[in-house]
Amino acid sequence: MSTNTVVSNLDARGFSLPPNIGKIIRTMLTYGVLILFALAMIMPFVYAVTNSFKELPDIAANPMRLTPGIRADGTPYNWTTIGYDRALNNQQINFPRAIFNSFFVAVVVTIMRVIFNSMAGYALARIRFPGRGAAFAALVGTLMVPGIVLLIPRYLVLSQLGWIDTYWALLVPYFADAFGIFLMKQFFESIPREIEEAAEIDGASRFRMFFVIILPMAIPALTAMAIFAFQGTWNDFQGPLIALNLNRELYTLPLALAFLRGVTGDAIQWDLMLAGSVITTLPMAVIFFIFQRFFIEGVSYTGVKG
Amino acid sequence: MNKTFRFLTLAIVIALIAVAAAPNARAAQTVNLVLMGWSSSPSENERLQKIVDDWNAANADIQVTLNQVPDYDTTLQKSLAGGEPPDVFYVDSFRFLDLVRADALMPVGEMLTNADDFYPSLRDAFTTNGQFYCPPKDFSTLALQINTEMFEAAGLSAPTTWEEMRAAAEALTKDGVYGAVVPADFARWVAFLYAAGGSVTNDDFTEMTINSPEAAAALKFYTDLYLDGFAKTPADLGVGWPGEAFGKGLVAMSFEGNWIEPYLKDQFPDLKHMAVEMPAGPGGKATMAFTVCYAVPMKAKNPEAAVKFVDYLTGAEGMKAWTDLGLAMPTRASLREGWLAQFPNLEPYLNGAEYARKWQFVPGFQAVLDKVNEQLSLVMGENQTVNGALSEIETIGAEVLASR
Repeated sequence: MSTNTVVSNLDARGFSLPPNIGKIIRTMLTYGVLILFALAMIMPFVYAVTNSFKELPDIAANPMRLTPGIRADGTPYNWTTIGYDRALNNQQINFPRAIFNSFFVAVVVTIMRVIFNSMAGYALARIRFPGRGAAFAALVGTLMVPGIVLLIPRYLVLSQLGWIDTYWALLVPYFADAFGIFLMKQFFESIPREIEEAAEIDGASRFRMFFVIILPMAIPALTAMAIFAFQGTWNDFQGPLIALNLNRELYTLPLALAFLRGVTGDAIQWDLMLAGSVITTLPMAVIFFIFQRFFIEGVSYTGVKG
Repeated sequence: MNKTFRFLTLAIVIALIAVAAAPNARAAQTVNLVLMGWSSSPSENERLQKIVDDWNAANADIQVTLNQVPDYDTTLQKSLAGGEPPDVFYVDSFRFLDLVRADALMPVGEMLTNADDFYPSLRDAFTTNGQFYCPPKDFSTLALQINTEMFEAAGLSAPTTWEEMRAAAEALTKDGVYGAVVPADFARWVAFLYAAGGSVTNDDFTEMTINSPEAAAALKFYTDLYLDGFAKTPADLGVGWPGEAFGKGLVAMSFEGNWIEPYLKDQFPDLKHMAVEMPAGPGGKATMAFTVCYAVPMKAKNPEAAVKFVDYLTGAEGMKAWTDLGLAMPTRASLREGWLAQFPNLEPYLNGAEYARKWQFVPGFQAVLDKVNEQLSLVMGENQTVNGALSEIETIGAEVLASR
């Protein structure tokens, strides 16, 4: 910077800063804080991934290193995939099958919830039938019941149906959920009635009107619900725990991970656990990156989009 | 048409009867049992599966399915509530009285071969009202881990008494290393309580006896290690548990069970260390026995078969196959010598069986344990006196015992 520039910037008080330095400082501060928080959020994942490729003594000795460390005798540790090998080729747990199970259950449950929740939400929002108020009140009421209370009753129902250790028990009870119905009902109420009236005059049946006209308008709400459904099902531990007894082939990833961890107290086998965790987390991360745009739109859905 | 219909009906009825009868005919010959336990480390899971497979190969009439589960407590609760408990399942000594009170266990201990061979301290952990309910499958005890490199450098030998241990802790606290790691954890401190000659309750759990001069001595000794600067808690050292602090060489001594051995071997292979018996206090030697039994439920469908299988698992042959892994220890005194020949370095843990106390309290006692942990922290933070802590613990304990 030349002296001339500085001189030309002097104001009446005889000194000044370059015109945009305040802005630069503000920007730097903003980004500094943002980067700091982004690192705080990302680093745990980075450590999980890098440590999952390290040898067990290396993880124990240098957990905060991003690359393999040095042994006490000066020789370096190596990168390794032994944790993944131990997780994927476990004799007790069919981990690849668990990955499939998790996908299968999450996809089926998500699709079914999109269908059933939107139909139920529409009925509660638009169709007048006796007991509608009571049905809605009961629905919202179930949101208040803590899940743990229903643990044993749910098991008893499933065992009466003979569904224990089958896919049915992992799927059917989750085909609709109160929160999703509630979300959809609120959304449908925000759609002007005139649109339906117009369709009705044109002679569309209730179903046709719902699927052809109303549902496409509900895509933001449906996306939000589908995300909640997929992620909730993917991470669910208690549901599959109750539904399965002897059939370890149907374990989903959270159960498989808990099984791998076992009752080893504090002496956790980090290579195995981190590899298992990465395998469990990775599909969700990949899906997030692919559908990022929809996710943001769906999550920021606030209701009325007319 | 009508004839065909009648014929079809008949065929279907015959087929149904055949289908319905077939499993019954087979059930008369083969009994199917389920053994439920928690998932442990992969090597332990695989070993137990092999033992069960060997049993199945040799016993066509009793076929066992091994069900190792995550989140064991929830699963067991679910199975018991559902009215179809597994035929054999693990019971931790800590949960034993809960389950006996719920009438969930069948007393089968005396039906086993040579039941007197089990160590008395472990039998006792599964005995109530004079009934030996279920045989201990294995056990662990606490011992003192010492970092031999540090001890040799300082010219010290392994401590055998509290005084020696305190002196060693003082001598080894230097260069950023501390003498010992003392967690604010009842499960560690309680060994000191017993070594001081103190106790938590009387033998039949009707009265708290923890507010005693012996307990005060134990609490003072344990917390003084910390307050005098010779010891740190795992949190102070930035580690998750005492074993990690010991493995990383941040401390010279740690009080842990034999589960620390495979951990140190896998994760800190270069560490030079050894286990010695817990140092004797004013009341002599003491350690804790953490043990689990193979229980048969009160509602067992095939109690004879279940007992026969349990007898194999805890008998000389089955228990040898299980404990030869070198992790948990055999509960039969007759297996002691053969086991020690293979794992001489684990002798201090096994010796503990002679003077170990059972890890067992009455239902609801978790509240007392939590209180002890809290008071240990407070005393270490100089926010509570030794006697104040003991009387707080006594108060809450008396409430728990009175509410039974």
